[in-house]
Amino acid sequence: MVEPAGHDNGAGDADDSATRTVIVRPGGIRAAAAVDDRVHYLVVVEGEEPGRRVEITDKPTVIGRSRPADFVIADALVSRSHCRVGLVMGEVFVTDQGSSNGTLMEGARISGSRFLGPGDRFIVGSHVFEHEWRSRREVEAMRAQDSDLEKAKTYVRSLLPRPLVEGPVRTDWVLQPSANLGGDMFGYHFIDERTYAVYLLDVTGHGTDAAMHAVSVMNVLRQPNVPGLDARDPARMAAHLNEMFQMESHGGMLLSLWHGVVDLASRTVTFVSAGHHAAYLVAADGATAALDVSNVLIGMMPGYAYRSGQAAFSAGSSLYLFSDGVFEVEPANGEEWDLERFVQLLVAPSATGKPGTQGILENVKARTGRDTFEDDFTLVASTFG
Amino acid sequence: MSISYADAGDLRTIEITGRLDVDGAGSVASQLVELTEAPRKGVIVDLSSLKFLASIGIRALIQSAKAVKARGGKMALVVDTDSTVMMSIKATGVDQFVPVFDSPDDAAAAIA
Repeated sequence: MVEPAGHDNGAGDADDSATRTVIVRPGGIRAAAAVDDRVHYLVVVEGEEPGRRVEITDKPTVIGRSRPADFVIADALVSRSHCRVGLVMGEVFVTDQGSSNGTLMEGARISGSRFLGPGDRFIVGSHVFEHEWRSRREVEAMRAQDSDLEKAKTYVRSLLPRPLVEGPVRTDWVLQPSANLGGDMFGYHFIDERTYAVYLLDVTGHGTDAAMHAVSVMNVLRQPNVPGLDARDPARMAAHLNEMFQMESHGGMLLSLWHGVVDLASRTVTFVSAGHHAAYLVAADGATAALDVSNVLIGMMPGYAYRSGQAAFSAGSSLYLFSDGVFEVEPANGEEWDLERFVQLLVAPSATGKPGTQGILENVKARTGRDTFEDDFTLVASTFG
Repeated sequence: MSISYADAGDLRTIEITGRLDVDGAGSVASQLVELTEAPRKGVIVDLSSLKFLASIGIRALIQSAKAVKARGGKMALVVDTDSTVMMSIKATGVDQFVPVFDSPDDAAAAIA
């Protein structure tokens, strides 16, 4: 429970109309680890392998570009034997070994040895290191979690369909999972030879629980063998999923879904967007149409009547489904980035050498100055002949 | 990112500022749910100074609104009309579940 802070108990203020204010910040509440269990670690905060961690002991760890350094980092700005970090009388010190480009702390080059308190950082080339003082148990738990996340990422990937390179529909996609794995999933299949279904869903939150939930929902979408359920009716499918996956009985999880059923003979798409932003049709001449019907997230309101929309398209049009992770990116280069700019990119991708969705991903990276994103980046493009 | 609240009689106003994104959103989201658990009839969640609302924040808003409704109270949101937060609120359909206003006074009048 959050209690009001700085509250004066002595001033007869039992009056219910009194105004109380509390400021709480994320990360403020953290169980303190037993002090005697804590160990000193050196961890890479920025650089080639963020999260790489070694224990700091009496025997100093030498950071350098090549062996015999203990901590080798492939960084042209780093000297062969750049600096060393070790314990002296139980305290952590960093010592520059006469490197060419220096070891930097607080923006200045250090000379000789410097004390490194818990949380202090130093810079070597393009790498940032931090002194972490935390319990061994915590670090072990983190490692186990990282490995579970990696397994979940591999599993999610194994469920994704192969690109369609020939036939009446060509489909190509890119999914770059966020570091902590978002809840994005997608799929497509032919219901019969003239009907193509494509869907993308995004579960709220991150981590293995969100990914597991996404997999459960996907399994319904992939094999909709439910009596009385017409696979050609995406609004009915959304309503069915909504009844199956109410948040109260599914760990409080909600999801957004965009689901389209394309009639290739009449060139029409019937779709539902359930708490999901629009998908976009881009015609061969560059004209765009946002396919969007206002509906709520799945799992939020029992009995909600989902409505579908319909659109016609011309030969050579492409249908783009994507998660909010493609436009909710905070640029690292001071540029602006939003949905509108992303859609412009679908119409006129700038030259990167790579075609298709991978090329669009490269474009977003270039425009936002980011290589990794805080949410899953998922884009599925289907082109109709 | 910060969360604060003020009580006036039977009305609690909770304000969230900054970016409610992945880093740290979990703790702010759970604090929001806790703050709406207080036995007040009316709860206003003021998001007009929020720059960004991630899906985990959406989830916390829905959970809070359900809890407030379940105990017979009323909840309303305050959101800037042309903001990206409003875009998220509309895209996810939160506005079909919790009434949204562009000023705290309108919100207070509506749930009084």
